[in-house]
Amino acid sequence: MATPREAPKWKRGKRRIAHKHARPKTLIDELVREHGVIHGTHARGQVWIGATRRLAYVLEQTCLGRRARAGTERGIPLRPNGSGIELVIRMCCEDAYYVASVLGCLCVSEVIEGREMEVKLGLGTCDMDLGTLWRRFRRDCGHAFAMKCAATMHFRMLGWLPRSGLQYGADLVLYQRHPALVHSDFVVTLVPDVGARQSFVLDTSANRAVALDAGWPDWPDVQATSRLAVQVNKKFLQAHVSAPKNLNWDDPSCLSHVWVNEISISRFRSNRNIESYAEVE
Amino acid sequence: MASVFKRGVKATHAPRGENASDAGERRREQRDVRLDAALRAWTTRRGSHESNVSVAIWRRERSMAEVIRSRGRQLQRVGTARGNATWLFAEECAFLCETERLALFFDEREEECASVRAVYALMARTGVGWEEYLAYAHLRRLGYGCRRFGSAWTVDARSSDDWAKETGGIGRWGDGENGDGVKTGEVEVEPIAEPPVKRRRVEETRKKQRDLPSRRWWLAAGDDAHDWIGPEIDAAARARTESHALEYDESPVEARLTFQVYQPNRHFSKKSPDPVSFYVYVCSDRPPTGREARALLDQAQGKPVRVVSCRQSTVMMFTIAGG
Repeated sequence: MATPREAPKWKRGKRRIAHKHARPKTLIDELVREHGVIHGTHARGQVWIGATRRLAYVLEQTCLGRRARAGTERGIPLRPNGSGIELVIRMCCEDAYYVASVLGCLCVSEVIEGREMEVKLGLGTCDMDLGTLWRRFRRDCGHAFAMKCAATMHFRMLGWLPRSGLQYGADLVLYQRHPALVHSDFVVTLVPDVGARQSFVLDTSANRAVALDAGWPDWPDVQATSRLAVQVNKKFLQAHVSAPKNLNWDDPSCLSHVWVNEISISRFRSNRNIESYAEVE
Repeated sequence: MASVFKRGVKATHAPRGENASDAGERRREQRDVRLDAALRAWTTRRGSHESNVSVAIWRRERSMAEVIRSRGRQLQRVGTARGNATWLFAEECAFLCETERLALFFDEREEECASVRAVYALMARTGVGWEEYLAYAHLRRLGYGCRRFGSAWTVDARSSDDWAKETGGIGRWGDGENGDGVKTGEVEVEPIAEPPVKRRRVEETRKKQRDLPSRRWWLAAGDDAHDWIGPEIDAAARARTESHALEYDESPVEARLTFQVYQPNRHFSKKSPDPVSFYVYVCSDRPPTGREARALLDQAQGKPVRVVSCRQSTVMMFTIAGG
């Protein structure tokens, strides 16, 4: 699959206005160079960012978070980024770790236990370094976080914009541009290989209450996802996440030893792929 | 809840004037007729005439059947030609017997040819799985030419007595020790005969996985001098991980291609066969893992690979491709 080469599947009427929106690569460069270090707060399983309109636009266009409805951020200590807090962005853990570690322009803080009353005074929060952030996310999201994080980073580095694939019964869907402009191209399910599964069994520090499907995807699952993908005009991709058996998942540098293999699966209609006259026997 | 019918006349639609009880009686009669036909299928006499049927004798020492009388054109895309004789694999015998084009005898002295059930049992004894046969028969009924992966279409008449073992396929069909992989007339599969070559290929796959360059998670987009990251973190990460050796999954990958499939062709010739259209891997237990899929794609060497799942006699085929 590699980098996106086919033309995007533009939504109706969006191709003409697409030139008004910058490409994701340009926006990410802008995010790194112009906005400096962004401050976010970890709460309720997500990272909340108080942003200016321009920053919120950049984050939304690159699928790095969504606007939070007004009032939902109540009780969360937000630090202003730029001139002030005009909009609030909610970012999932995988995207937050990507911005913090790969782009290096996010600093996440959290409320210190026992000092919640000092939050209103601007105190009571502490910045988390990458290691602490990684372990906090693993504690909240379980083994699935590491797998999703690896896959998200893998596809982002190839130029795709991954988003949750829950509505298609998958783990991720991949876009070339913002979802408001284009339809997604791929539906992705994540499958850990034998080594990764063994490392999950040995790992005791992640939150085991968050279930990770230990069984291999069965043929009915593949068939169901494949047919669904065809009906919504997308291609089905299985991302096999491979890792050493004794990998220490508590160390954030473990991602450098994880790799993702993409296998595209499509249903083959044997009776429709006969190229020449068939002497049916 | 109302039934959802496909477009067209309803199959159970009763003629005008027919009441419900007559319609039920009519349906019962139709069902009984079909049930009787299914129950008597094993003992039904052959529909084809004896003179139109090819005859073969099973040679136990070669695990193949030798055709001693050929009729029609069905052997044009089936079997291995050795001199003037044609030799058939077990699944080919089973398919031809099932379609009443071959009479198979287990011994020259037998007067009664083997039944279809006996041929199925023979096929199981020779190691051909039922799902593999279902996939083979499915493709043959559609008109494709289907052959064991790596098997030869023609064999030199002066070849050694072990020719059946050497040319009967590779990978899943052979132990890979003696198979040549490519014989006269087979131009698509490159020789994968010698064990050292094969082992090197498996090792290369493992090596490729292990030596994949570590993803530089620590680099920002084009800015090496950022405050957050830099070569110090990168070096620290490497130093930490090199303190203990990482164990990779090095269990042998057992996935091997099953069949090679050719497009239908009236003028197919064993001496100059058509190029392989795609390869088939039969796997009904579960979909192949990432390593197995990679191994299959490596074996196919650029040709499409279809994975076949047979459950409850339903054959589903999926195409897999690398990223």
